[in-house]
Amino acid sequence: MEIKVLKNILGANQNKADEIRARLVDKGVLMVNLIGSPGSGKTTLLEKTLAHFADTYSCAVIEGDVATDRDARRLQKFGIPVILINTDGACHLESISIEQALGELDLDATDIVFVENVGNLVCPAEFDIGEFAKIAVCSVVEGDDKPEKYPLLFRESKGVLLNKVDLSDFTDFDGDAFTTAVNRLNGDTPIMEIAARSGQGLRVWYDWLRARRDEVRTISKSGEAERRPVHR
Amino acid sequence: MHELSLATNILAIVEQTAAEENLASVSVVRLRIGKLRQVVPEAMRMAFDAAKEGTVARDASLEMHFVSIRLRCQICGRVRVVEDRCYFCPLCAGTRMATVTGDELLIETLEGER
Repeated sequence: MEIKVLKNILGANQNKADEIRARLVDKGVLMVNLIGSPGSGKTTLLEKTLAHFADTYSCAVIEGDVATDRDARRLQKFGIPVILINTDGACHLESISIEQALGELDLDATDIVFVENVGNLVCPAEFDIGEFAKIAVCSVVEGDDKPEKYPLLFRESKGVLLNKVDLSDFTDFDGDAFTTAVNRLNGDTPIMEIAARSGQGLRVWYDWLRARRDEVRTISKSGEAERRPVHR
Repeated sequence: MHELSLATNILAIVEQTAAEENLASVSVVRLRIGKLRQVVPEAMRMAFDAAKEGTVARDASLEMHFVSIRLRCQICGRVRVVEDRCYFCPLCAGTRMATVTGDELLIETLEGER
């Protein structure tokens, strides 16, 4: 006999993610999910960002790593909560582990939670973890074909950080081709050209973060978080 | 590589459904998967075969039905089927495209015996 099921395979993950998002927005906490390849510069970007906002916002980091605490250790010097999730080989973070990590934070005293997802352009894009915004982190040394090869990530992202632009002259990266490819996938997402190590271009990223954080606060104050889903 | 996570979730739903419907065995599991979802059929099949061991679906086969990506232009309203990795509107070149189909990740039906 045939039985109709019609259930979302990732329904459990999605429900948890929606709960997390509603709770964070209600508390006025911005959570950003950074997704990029290994070596795209996610941790360096976080080092610069945490230093920049040290006196402005209370930040926390959830660090997703297949193994080791190397990235988490790099961020400990900022004296902020850094929660490490070792996925033991899994290629992405899921909402259930994010919920546990958030349980270790004082959300009433937190402004921004940065999640550094496992280095991978495919799987993290599939799993909603309750973030307010996904950010794609790419670098020029990876090549300009990434948007076409990994369309879901670029369709889901609220912003694209193009890192290591100071190395462009040493690569055959075609900036116009990259921009066109991103725009064709997602006309709403801004591309921010940066060099995280030197700090080049980071002002635009900081302004973007500040604007998103204000956006979350505004929704929180209007009490809308309970009435409608913020995302999707 | 996330196919193993998907397989684990699929079997949890299959086991729950089988219990609700009093099924002694499940012979077919049918999925509906949008082409945006980056599911690799061979990897999905392998993960399903690994995860079904010892469950009510241990002898089940997996059928996957892939759904085309269809996007609606937010400017001119036209719906476009994405076939060539072009996600923008062919009529007005608009790039604000809402997903109509192609992001599905569903267990559609299953077959089993009581």
